[in-house]
This record gives sequence, C-alpha cells and structure tokens, in this order.
Amino acid sequence: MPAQIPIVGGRLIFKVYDEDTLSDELIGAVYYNLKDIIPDANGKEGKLNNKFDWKNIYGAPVGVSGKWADNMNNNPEIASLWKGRMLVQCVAVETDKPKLLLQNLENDVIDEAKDCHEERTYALRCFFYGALCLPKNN
Amino acid sequence: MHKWIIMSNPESEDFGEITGQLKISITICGEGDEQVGIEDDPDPEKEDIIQPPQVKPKFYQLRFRFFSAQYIVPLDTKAFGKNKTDAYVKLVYKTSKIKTKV
Repeated sequence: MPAQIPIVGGRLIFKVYDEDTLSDELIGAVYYNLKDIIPDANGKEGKLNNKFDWKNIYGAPVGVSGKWADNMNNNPEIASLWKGRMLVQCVAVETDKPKLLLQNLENDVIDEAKDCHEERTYALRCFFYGALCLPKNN
Repeated sequence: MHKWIIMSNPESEDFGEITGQLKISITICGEGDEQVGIEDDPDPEKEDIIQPPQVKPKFYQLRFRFFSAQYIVPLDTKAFGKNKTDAYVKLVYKTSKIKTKV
C-alpha cells in the first residue's frame, strides 16, 4: 500500500473477518502506527520495519452486539477481549510510484518466517513478600 | 475545515525541514453572512494535509505480509467436529478496500 511523508496521524487498522455464506462477521482488529514502520524525518528506521511480529487481535466479547461492541471490534485499543494473533512482517521501501495491490507471499520470505512459529516454554516465578489486612483467626 | 497544515521555517538553513503540524478550521464571513460555527472534526482519522511547496513529500511502498494466525476465536459452530473460523484480513485505505484470501 502507498504511504506518504509527512504523516500526521498514521493510524492504520487491519480488520479480521470470518467468512460466512450469508454475511462475513467481524472478529476484531489489529492496530498499526505508520510512524513505527516508515523512517522518520532524520532517516531513522521505523522500529517495526522489516521485523516479523506477532500482532494481537482484539475485539468485543463473543456473542455481544450493539454500538459498544462495534466500537471495540473497530478500535482494538479499547477492546476487552484477546481474539488471537497473527504473524505479520511490514516493510517500507521508498519509491516514486507506490501501489495498492495484493500479492502472494514469496517462498523465501515464507521460509524466513518459519523460525517465528517455534513454540517457547516459559517459567513464571512469583515472590510474595507480605500481605495487609488479612482476616484474623478465631 | 479541519485541515492539517505542515509548518516549516523559511528563515532556517534547512527550510524544507518540517517544524510542526497545526490543525485549523477557518470560516470567513462577509457582511450580512450568517456565521458558520466550527465544530469538532467528525472524522479525525482523515488526514487532510496542506503543505508548503518547499517541503518535498516522500513516497513509500508499504508491504504487509500476513503469514499465519493462531488461537483465533471460533465463530462458526459445527454440529460435528471442531468449531472453526475462516479468517481473512481486510484493509480500508482511503477509498479503496483490499482483502487477503481465507
């Protein structure tokens, strides 16, 4: 997709839908700030440029409808439910004639992304140092 | 109404450098005209920009590559077998719409 500097806002929302025979259902959305991808005025690269990133999809709770549910599904920043994640890579290249089009993924990039699918196991350690106002024993 | 103005300092060495952004709404009334009220921007996401000629715009081709998705909430309920979701991604960009395959 095309982008132009100077950017003022740079808010970009990708919406994730579920395809259905009757009408497609909005699952949630993913938020991007174009300033995180495009180099700034000093030429410093955007922090997400060329990076593989698992982006979280947020939306309204399942089975809920109405104005607030629509707002949540369209604005992931205010949504309350995590609805999954997707692996995305974004790349910004300076050009004279940017285009808006859809292309199939190149095989070498698909191979590069394979490393990101590796499952990791984490151990979580919690230390409890004290407590206040606990009920007294009888 | 509700336009962003890109500012630069014409007296600086690099007069093409962007020094700030200002959002303005102006109404001009002649004698006998009814005053037009300035209200909040109804579409704040829209980027309507006016920029001085010395600020040269740069254009970028952005490529978003979607590889896979995980843990998507199942929305289709099946009588037999697992529930599933036929997910695709859609982008509405200015006046165009573009969507991926399922």
